Amino acid sequence: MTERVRAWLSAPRDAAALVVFRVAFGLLVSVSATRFLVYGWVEQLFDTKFQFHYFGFGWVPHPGLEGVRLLFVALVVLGAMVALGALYRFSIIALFVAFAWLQLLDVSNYLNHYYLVTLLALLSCFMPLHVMWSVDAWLRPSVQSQTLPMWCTALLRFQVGVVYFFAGLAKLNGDWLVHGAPLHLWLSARTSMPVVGPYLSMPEVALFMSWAGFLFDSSVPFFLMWRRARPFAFVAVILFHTATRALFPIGMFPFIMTLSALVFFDSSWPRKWLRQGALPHPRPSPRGRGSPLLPLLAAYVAFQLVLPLRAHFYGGDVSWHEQGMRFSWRVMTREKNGSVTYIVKNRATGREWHVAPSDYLTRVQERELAVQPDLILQLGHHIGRDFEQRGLGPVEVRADTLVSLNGRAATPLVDARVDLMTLQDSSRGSDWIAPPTEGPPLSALRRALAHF
Amino acid sequence: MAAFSGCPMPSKPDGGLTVLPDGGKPVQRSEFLRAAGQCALRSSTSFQTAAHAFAANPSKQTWATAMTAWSRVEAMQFGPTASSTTPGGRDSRDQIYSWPLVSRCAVEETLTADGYSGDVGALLINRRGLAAAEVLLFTNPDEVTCGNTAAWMALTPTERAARKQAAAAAIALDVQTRADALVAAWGPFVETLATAGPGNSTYPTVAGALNRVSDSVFFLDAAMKDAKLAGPLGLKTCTATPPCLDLLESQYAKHNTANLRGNLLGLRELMEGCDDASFNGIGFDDLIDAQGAFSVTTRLDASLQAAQVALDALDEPDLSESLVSDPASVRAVYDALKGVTDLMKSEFLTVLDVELPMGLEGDND
Repeated sequence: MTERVRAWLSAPRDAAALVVFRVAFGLLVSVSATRFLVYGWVEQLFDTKFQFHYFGFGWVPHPGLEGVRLLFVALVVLGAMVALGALYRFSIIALFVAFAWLQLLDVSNYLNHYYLVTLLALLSCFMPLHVMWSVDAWLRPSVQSQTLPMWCTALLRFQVGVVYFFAGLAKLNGDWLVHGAPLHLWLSARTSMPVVGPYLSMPEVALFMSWAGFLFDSSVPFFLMWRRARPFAFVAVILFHTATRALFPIGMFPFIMTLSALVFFDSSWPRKWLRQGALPHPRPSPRGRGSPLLPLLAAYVAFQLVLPLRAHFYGGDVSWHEQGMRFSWRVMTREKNGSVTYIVKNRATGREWHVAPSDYLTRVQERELAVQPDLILQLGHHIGRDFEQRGLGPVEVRADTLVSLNGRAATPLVDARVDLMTLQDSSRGSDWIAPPTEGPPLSALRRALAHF
Repeated sequence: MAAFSGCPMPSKPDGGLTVLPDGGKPVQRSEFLRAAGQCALRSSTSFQTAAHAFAANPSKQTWATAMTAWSRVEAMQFGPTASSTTPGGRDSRDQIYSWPLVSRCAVEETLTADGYSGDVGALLINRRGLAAAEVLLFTNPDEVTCGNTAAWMALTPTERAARKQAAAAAIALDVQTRADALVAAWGPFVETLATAGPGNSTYPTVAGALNRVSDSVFFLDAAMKDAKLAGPLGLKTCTATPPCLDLLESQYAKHNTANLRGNLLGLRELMEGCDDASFNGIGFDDLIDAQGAFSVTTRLDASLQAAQVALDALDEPDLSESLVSDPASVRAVYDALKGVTDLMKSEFLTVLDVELPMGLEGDND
């Protein structure tokens, strides 16, 4: 069995499709980095007084604003080099390092599609995607090959499929499927859209789109893998991402997902477009059979399957407590807003200060902080240390919070009685996170029933 | 478009519900935007009248009337009143009233250098506007602490008073000019706001326009609650023993309680309605009702009324006296306003799907 899997994974396949993926991926990274530089997002997202670090990654150095700007410039160049297949081994590794470094600088910048780009770059580091239609192959014939082993295609399909599948799984809940929340809140705010706008405030539309989104996400990777359904599934991919692009400010995500879905097509599809003949069925390469790749692949696949599921081990509603929220492909599943005020109290004198997060954070950071308990804890520690360094300590720091999830009545997110200075961030469950509001969200279903 | 011309178009977009529980029709977002624009225009016009009276006779009394009228406008910082970095913004707020960017020392430097006899509009914003006029009108001419004090004290008391009055008059004229410009800008802008959507170059989307108006009500958080109350209460930046009176607004005129009342009046008009003194008319609460979130409306209106009650309970026109004699009463106002802002930052934003001010337009997922 293992031998058969190993043989299948190392079987050569036409490299054309993955080479096109390389070109598209490099261009997308380049365009994405250019947007950051042109729109001033580098300054808005990285010119911050305080940075939230990922659990276990507090050691990542901040290169300063100029350094960040240089990293984005580097990404523009490296993306183009990857697209061209120029010095590919160097450029893809450098691209991965630069992109991952930028992502690790501040948790509040986390987006699922940035995480996806990081993973695709990581995987591409292990794939010789420059074997054809590249500067490297043109200059160095020894690099040239018409084929790539099957595991390259399989791994990219798996990665893209995981995003869709878990995004669908995240929608398998009452808020999304029964109440059409939070989609109806978002759609009601977009009634000025041409043609479809007037329909978007109808609760029936929100319920229909909630179900359509759930069914699409959870099934499309399987339909993309099924040869006969693939063209229809790809049309659905294009329609879905065009619609989400038109409705929501989700930047490059629709482009990344649409182009990534191309990896599900036959490995020779670009040759048909270029009117080249299909590659003769390549013979299995004896090289890959003894490779240690299988355990590594298996470990990566297992990790990518378990990591998104960890949210369920915490119990409760992950959209509320946020433990296991990141790296789980829970894409646009909640509308959550909140208010946080830190109450800092001098232990000796009892003098009390009310600290607004905006004293330390940008608005973007503040918006993320208000709904994520681990960020509330991080800033609480920072504020406590800051007060003590200014000679106003020793202090205790409590967080007065009020958060609304999907239109429910706002309720405290963390226990206001707990001194945050006594807590440590942990990957374990956190009993200082308050329970969510009972009852349904602001419901499209209720509105739909009221219509009748 | 021809392809669509034969299609029966749906009725106007509604806000979610077709009929409200009281049988009324839900308010459309465009209706709200028109009402908000008209409200801002009405407030600006009231201020314009007061500014003309102030320019005609620059005195403590006319300054106070103008300041009260301005405090209502100040809570409606969208459209021309807002920063020029926002759609349609003309920086009118800072041009007319720059607090907390105000410096008694800078005003007195300009005064002793005879800087108010030239083009007042060309001066830095912390040397003109209502805040600078307050310094000139409400401080003793003999107590100049900055600038060429020797030359100033060499003037006769009559000359000093006359020079100060002339400077206040020059500033008042500049304020009047800017009030006229604000009202002139608001006239056509009401229609710009009401017609937000495709084809509108200032507000290409209704959501964007609504977000700019919602930004303005967060004035209650950053300015009223934090700058005007938490600072003097000693809950914010001040590390000295509270109260921190040097952080008070309108501390020379002792007019800060009235300013807060004007601010809250403007905010309640946006939140509840602007047609009359009872806050009837279209406000944000009607949009929330249109989403079916009636309990949010109830709690938001209740929290605003609680803030009004707490503010009305302040006995003194000057917070510096209340902060010393009855700090709990000032703290009660702060707590009541925090109750409003907590609701606004959570349920208000969620139900209306608007962002906090200065949210970044960028990638998302």
